[in-house]
Amino acid sequence: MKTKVGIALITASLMVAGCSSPGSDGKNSANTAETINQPVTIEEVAALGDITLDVWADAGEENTMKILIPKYEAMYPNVKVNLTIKGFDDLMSTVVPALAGEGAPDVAQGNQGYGVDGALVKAGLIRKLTDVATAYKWSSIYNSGDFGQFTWSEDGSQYGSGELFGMSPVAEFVGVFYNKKKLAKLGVSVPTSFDEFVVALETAKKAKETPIVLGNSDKWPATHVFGLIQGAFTPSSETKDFITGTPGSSFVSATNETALNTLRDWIKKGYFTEGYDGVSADDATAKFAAGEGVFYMGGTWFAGTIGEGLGDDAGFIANPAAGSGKRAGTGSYGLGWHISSKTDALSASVAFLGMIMDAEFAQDLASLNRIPSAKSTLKASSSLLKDMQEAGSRMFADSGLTFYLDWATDTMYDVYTSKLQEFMAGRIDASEMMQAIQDNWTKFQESRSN
Amino acid sequence: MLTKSHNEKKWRPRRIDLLPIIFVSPALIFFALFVIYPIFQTIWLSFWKWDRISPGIWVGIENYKTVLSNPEIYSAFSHSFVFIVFYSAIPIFIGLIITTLLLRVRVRGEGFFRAILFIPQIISTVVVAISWRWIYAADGPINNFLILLGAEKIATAWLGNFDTALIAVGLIGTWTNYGLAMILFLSGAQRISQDLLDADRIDGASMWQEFRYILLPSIRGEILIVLIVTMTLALRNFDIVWNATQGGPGNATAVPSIFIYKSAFVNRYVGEAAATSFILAIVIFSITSVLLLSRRESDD
Repeated sequence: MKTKVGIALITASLMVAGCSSPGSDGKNSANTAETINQPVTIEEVAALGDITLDVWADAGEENTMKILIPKYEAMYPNVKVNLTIKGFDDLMSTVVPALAGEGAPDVAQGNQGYGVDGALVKAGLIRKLTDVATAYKWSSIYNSGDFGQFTWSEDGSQYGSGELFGMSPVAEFVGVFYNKKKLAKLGVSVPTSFDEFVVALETAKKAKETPIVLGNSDKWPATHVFGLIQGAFTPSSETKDFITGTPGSSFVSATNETALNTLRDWIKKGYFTEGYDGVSADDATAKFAAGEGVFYMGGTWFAGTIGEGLGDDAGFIANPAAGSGKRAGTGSYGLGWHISSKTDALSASVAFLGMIMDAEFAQDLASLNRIPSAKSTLKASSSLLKDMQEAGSRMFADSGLTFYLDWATDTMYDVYTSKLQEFMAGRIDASEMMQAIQDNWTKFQESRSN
Repeated sequence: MLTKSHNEKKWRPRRIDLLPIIFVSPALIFFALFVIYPIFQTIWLSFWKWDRISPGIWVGIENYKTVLSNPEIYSAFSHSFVFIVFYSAIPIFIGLIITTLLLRVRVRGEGFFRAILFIPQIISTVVVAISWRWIYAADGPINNFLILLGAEKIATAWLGNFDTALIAVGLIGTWTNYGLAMILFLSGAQRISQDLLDADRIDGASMWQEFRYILLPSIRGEILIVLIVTMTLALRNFDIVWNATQGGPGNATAVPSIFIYKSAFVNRYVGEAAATSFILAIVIFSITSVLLLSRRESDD
């Protein structure tokens, strides 16, 4: 009897589990063939009747949404925005299946690169925005040279050129925060070149200060530190070509080797927080904000915590330039906003993006300590924010935002973060590190071309 | 004649009694829906290349080949086997020591201490991992204590050091699991009659003899249960590792579940995640079967 019930259960389970191929019932039909030639009008949105616009955003957008949504709902009173806020990791692991499923959000944030945006474009889940960009004249408001990070061929196979699929009104990049009081005490002026930066680190170490505060237990913070050192040595175009998958690109290069060995040298000299692999990014930021250490190589998104802690003692510079004089380092536009291909509220979705990308909204973004990427001049609410805005315009002027290396393939994040930790601990050398990155890239490029 | 009638009785067509089946059916349906079905769905998915959005492509055993040709998966399994020592062997050892001692020595307020010692087992593992992250930190209490003793040289970021991270995470498992071993062993020990213990003590048995000839045979069943539960925990360990180190530094504390999670939810290689899950399930099933069979044989 027992056996019979068992067999019956197994058969039934296999029948239910195995009768179809996974994902075969997915409907990715596009409701959005209509082209946008002019900015959407209030009447066009009103014609949709009373609707709810589902929006998915990263937790970093929460305060921005608090300003934007009331403005939007006031202008388009027939639309009620239903906002879903998710932490970054949560958003990244759920936004792709959410846009593929029933009840997909109308507007959602993805992430540049092959892992998220690439998958969305390939599966036809997000709408092209090239027409919207033209209608709203985004290329005159923003530096269109950097739109490449949101452009894809229509089948999602080529990255860095083709149609525009997303957009963001802010820049987020890594730079060097510094403690003004500490620098003054050390008798060091704000470094304007990479060499001066190195001298400042030496001086800090001699004075028994922690030159660079780092917490790397989350694995990614050190990649941002390396991104800055790499930016000083490797031309930004090389790094960007590698990330967007330009054929013939290579991570194995003399300049990357120099950058890696510089990082290793700094570790040997004890320039970073002791036991950095056991300290979280948040804890390290809090330590720097509380006055520990002299420099903090981190993203502009830490400005809130650092500004709150150090007040007027907090300063920020773009990555110090080496020989070429050009500034380059890890950074990009913020997480891209996308419109679902399935939305039945296209005009309301376009109006939402139109409003967040509007030059007038840039001042609101600046008031939230964010760095608007619009070319307009803005009032900065603090000296730290002013520093960051200046750094941002320098980086844009030099086309110096080198994106994030983990965009390069769908598994690059794991390989890059783990191998960099191994390299920093002296368990592998620079050539092994570069080869591991290159192998992952090559394997991915081969799988895409098959 | 008697034999014949007996046979006749045996051959009489049996009436199927539906009542017991009706009684167990809710549990059976639940089990089928939430245990059997997901298992077979996982096996089924392991034969597909699927990214959770596009239609899947049948690839046969390709996912298994990919997983088994990845050297990192072997190191992940080797970490799991190290964790068996910390999650299973050491807690059982500690549990046996406490039980032996409590059998001999009557402690006032034993129930209270028992409850205190059991607390690590019931705290959420996320809380446990985060608390230990703090305890192990470069400027955490362990290092402060070492510095106080003048042992600065030993002080390190325990979870951030390639040489100490695996052991440090393992010890978190020891801390959470010894309570389970202790409680089960103590409840088993309560079956031992006081007369037997008294007689044994009058005869002058040492503590070791009491442990070896009375306690150990009495709680063999409990030891087996603890062994199976804790070994399974060690092998499918995810929450403590993820919240303490995310498998780092490098891949120094990565375990198969970390690969499964990343493949399924971050990189969307669902087929590979399913294949890894099935391999892990087979490993756990094999070990458990060997343990249960060895018990059966020793009982016979």
